[in-house]
Amino acid sequence: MSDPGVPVEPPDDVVEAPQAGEPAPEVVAAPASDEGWVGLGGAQSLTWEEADFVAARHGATIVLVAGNQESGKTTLLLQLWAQFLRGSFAGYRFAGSETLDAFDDRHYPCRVDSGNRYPLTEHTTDTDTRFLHLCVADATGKRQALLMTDLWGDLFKDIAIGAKVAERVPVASKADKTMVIIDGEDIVDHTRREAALRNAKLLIGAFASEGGLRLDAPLMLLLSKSDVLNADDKDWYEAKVTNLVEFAEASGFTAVEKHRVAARPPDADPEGLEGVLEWMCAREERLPVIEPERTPRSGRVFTTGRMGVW
Amino acid sequence: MPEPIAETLAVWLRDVVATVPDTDTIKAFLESVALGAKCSEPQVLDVVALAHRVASKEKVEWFADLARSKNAPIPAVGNEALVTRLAAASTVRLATSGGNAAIIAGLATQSAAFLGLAPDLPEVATFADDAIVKAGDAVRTRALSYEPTAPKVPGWVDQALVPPAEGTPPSERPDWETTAIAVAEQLDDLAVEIRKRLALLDEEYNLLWWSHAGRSLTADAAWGDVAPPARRVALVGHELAKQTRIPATAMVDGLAAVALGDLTAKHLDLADVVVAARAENVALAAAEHLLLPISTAVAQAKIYNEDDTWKKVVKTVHGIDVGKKEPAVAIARQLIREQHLGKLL
Repeated sequence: MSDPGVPVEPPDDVVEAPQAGEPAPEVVAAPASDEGWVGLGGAQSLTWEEADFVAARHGATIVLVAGNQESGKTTLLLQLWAQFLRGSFAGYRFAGSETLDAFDDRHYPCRVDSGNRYPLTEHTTDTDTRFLHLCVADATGKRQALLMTDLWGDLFKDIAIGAKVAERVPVASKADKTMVIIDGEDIVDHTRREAALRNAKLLIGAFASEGGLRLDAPLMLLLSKSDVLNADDKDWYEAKVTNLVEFAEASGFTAVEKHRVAARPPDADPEGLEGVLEWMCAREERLPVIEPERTPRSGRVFTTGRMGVW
Repeated sequence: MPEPIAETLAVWLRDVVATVPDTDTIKAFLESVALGAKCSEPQVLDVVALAHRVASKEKVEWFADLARSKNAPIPAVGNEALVTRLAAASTVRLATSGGNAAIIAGLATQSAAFLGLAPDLPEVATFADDAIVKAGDAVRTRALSYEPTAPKVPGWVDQALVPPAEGTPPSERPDWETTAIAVAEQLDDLAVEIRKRLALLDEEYNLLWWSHAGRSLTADAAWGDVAPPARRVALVGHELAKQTRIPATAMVDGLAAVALGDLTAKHLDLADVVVAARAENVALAAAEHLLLPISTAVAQAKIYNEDDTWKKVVKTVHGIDVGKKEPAVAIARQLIREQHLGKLL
C-alpha cells in the first residue's frame, strides 16, 4: 500500500473558499479541525487499498452509489463537491480531499472555462472499485470522511440481470450507506419508466441477497435529475417509489429513505443536495456488538446492592 | 474465550479499514489487540487513554509499532483512527482477562468517564464496569470447602480405628499417618477460609460502623463539622479507600453519600479537593497520568508548593482541567479509584 496523500502544514489563518469556476485550491484549510493536517488531493480516484489510508486516519463512511450508466452518479458526487467551492454547505465545511484533482478533472467540463456549450460529465468506465474522497467538518470542527464509490454503471446493470453482487461490486458488503439512483430522464419517458423502476427493484432485491449489502446499512432511493419531471410525473413517481420503499423494507433493509435531487439543473441552483449530504454524514449510533457475559452473582447485599439513591 | 474474537473485531474495524480484511489480516489485527492487552500494568493506562482518543502522538506511535510487530497493516502516518480502534479492542480484551490488569483497565476507564471522555467503542465502558463488578464479587466470594469435605473426616478416622484382623501383617494395618495428614490438610484449608471469611466480615463491619458512627476517623469530628466541603470530600474518599478491598463495590457510593450528607450532589471545584487531598496526605497513585487526574494534580501541587502554577502545568502537560466542577460524591469516588489504582500500579 502506498500513501496517496502528502500531508502539509495548514496556513495559520483560514484560506478563503475559491469562487465557483475557479480551479480547485492547491491547499485547503480545515477550519476548526481536530488536528493540524490537511491532505493534498491526488489526480486519481482512490483504489480500494488506497482508501484504507483515508479510513485509518479519521475513520470513513463508505457510500455505495448505485445506478445505471448515465443515471447521474458521477454528476451527483461532483456537484456535492462543487458546492464547497462557494464556502460552507449544509452546515458543513470542506476539510480536505485525497482526490481533489480527480474531482476537479471531472468537474472541469462542467465549467465555463472548459469551452463546452453545455455542462458535461465524463462517464466512469473503470470496472475496478474506486472512490472519491470528501472530508467535511461540522460546526464543532468534528471531521467526517466520506468515501463515495465511483463505479461503472454497467456493473449495476449486470447485477440487475442476475450477476452476483459480490463479484461485480465487492465493496457492497463494506458499504455503510447505499444510494440507488433512479434516473429522472427515464421517469419522464413513459416507454422507459416502468422498466427503470423494475430495474431498481431488481437491484434492491440483489442487494438484499447473500453477499450483498448489510441490511442494517441505510439505503436511499434517490431520484436524480428531478428538475425534468412535471407535476404528473412527480405524482406517478411518488406512488411508485413508495411501493419500492416498502419492497426494500420487506427485503430486510431497516433504514430506507427516498429523496430527490436536481444536481445540475440548466438554469437554476441545485436542489436536494443538502439532504443527500446530511444523509451521508448522519452518524449512525454505534450499537454494541458484544455484551458482557452474565454470570451468577452472590446475591449478598454488600457486593450486589446499592445504598440510597446512588 | 476473551473478547474480542475475530468476528467481533471485523465488525469493529469496519469504518477504520476500507477494504475487507482477509483472514491473515484479521489474525494480525487480533494478535495486535492481544499484544496490547499484555502490556505492563502502568502501560494499561496508556492503552485505555488511547481507547478514549486522548493519548499523545508518541503513544499512538508506540501502539502502532506494537501492532506492526504482529504484521498488522498500519500506515506510517495518518493512522490515528485505526490505532484508537485497536486500543479500544485491547481495552475490552483487558477487561475480560481477569486479574489485576482487568481491574486497572476497569478503574482507568471509569476515570476517563469521570473526566467526561467517551470511549471509541461503547463496549469499552460496559466491559470495564462489568470487570469491576465481577472482580469485586470475586474478591468477596465465600469459599465453601467445609461442607463437601468435613463430613468425610469422621469416616477417615473410623476407618483408621477398625482393629486389624488377627494375623494381619503390620504393613497391611490401617495407616494412621495418611489419615492424620488428610485431617491436618483439611484443618489448614478451613483455617485459610476462616481467615478470608473474617477479612470479609471485617470489611463489612468496619464500613457499617464507619457509616453508623458518622464521624471522620482522621479529623475525629462529626462529618457535619468537617469543613470546608473539599476537605470533607477528601477525607471521605481517603477513609473509604482504606476500609475497602480492591475493587470497591457500588455500595461505597452510598456510604460516601451518607458521610457527605447535603454535600453529596453539590458541585465542587476539583482544584479545591486537590488542595485538600494534598493537605491531608491522601495516599494517591505515585504515577502521573491523565487518567489519574487527582494524583497528578497533587503531585504537581507539591512541586509548585503554594503557587497556582500547578494548575497550568497539569492542563498543558497532562490535559487535566482542575477547574472543572463535579458532584462531591463523584470526586470522592474518583479519590477512592485513584488510591486503589495506586496500590495496583
